[in-house]
Amino acid sequence: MESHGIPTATVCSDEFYALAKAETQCLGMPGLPIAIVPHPVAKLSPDEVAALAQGTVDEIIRLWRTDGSELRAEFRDKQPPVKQRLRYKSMFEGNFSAPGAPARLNGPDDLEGVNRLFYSRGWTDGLPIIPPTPARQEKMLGECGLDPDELLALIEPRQGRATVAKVAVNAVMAGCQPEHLGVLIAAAKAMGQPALNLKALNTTTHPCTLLALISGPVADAIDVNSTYNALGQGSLANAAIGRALRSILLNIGGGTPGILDRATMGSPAKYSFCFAERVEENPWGETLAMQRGFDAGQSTVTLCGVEGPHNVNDHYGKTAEEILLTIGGVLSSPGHNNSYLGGEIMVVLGPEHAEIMARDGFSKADIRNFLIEHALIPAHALSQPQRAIMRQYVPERLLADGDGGARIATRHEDILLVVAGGAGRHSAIVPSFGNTRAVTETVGY
Amino acid sequence: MVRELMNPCGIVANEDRPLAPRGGHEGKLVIGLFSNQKANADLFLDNIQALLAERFDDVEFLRGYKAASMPADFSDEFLNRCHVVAAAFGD
Repeated sequence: MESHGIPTATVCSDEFYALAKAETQCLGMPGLPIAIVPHPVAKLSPDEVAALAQGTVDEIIRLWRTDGSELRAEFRDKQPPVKQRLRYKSMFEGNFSAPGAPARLNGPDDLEGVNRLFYSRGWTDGLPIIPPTPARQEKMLGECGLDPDELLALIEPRQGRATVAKVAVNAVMAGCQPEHLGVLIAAAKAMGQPALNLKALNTTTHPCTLLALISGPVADAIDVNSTYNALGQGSLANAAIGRALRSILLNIGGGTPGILDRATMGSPAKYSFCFAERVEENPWGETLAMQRGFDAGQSTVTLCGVEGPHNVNDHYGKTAEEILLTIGGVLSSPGHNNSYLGGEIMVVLGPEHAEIMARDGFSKADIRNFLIEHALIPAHALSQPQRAIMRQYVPERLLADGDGGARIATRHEDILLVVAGGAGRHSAIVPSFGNTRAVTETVGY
Repeated sequence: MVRELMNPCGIVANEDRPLAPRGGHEGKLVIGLFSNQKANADLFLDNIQALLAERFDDVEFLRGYKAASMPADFSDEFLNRCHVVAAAFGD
């Protein structure tokens, strides 16, 4: 608005001022005037909202009338109120993101000292990192043949420049091997695709993270696990690639917990969430990547803005319908974002569940049809405010104008089907942030 | 002992663009009120609108909205007609 010549007063709660401030810097207008009100606004009664407006209107008018250069100077240097203990003691000592910031810094010579320094600056996920020495960065870059200064994407919310060199530094810290770099390069490019909506993903109060789903020959080539415990621990590639993506979101994107990453609860999935599609046990012979237009011989990484997974245990269903009814029941929670924002939701079919569905003649389209019909949030679980917000955002999902339940999806493209996992009668559902679409990039320099 | 380490941080832009000029408007004032539609944002702006209506004699209000967690997409009318804007981003 200001850049269109329109004086604008932005009203923001104090808890989110740091986020608003970062946004103004990203937009190249750090002096944007902001009227700060106490958080939270959402829970106030109508009388309290009226009182809040009464107490804010004069400030709004002041921000419209005061000389622009005076306001610019006032707000450029205004710091967010610190309402919590700052965990990262030396975070604001020096600006390592400023244009012209040095590519290297001096640090301690021992592992523990480097970890104390990097943790203190807010540059880690809390677990120990591998010190990113110049030699290790060089080894990570190896013979990839890319220009280290090549820009792959601007990472939201700070729009930090993800160059090949910066991705390699974060890959070292996360414990990646040089053969993982190709996946990370592709993932960094994918982060820049607008459909992902990374700014919202990396700043929201929702506990979402980036799931990196690996498809094609690269999965076997670098040993990304798609079998037992695929969504869990135990594989170097899964753990380190997912962790490196978090490091990129933190250090290049600026997603510091409690500052720009505003996740209320967070999730263990934010440490690392990466697995591969299981091809040999996929009874339909078609991976999600192939469904998205890529060949079986192409290696891809698909990024999805998702919560952590929720298991679906069905040991007793003997038919496709019986198992899908259980999966649909787990999908139909009124408390995840997909319930009122719509968007994609992933179903990770365990190979034994997938085999039964294929045996019963269910195509992937049949599975989606069944879930659209039978994955229903029960009427008794929908509060009136929840029903009202669904009526606003996803009215097509409400079954009846009165007190009916609601579908969890109405469109085939909103149900992403993947096969992964080991033996056993389990599947998993992975709700998404809602306002996000999966994005895919091919792996290969 | 000291050793060199690589800086892991992404470099960010450092522009500092000026604000829109203030003042100088005469005649009817068109005020834009823009909401992200989070809980109470619209109600807050309803109250702001009522208070502003008492403060300005010749005033018209335009309301704008965006979906929560999505980038704003301002209408041509909003961009072309508003003289000043108040944007509420509650949570």
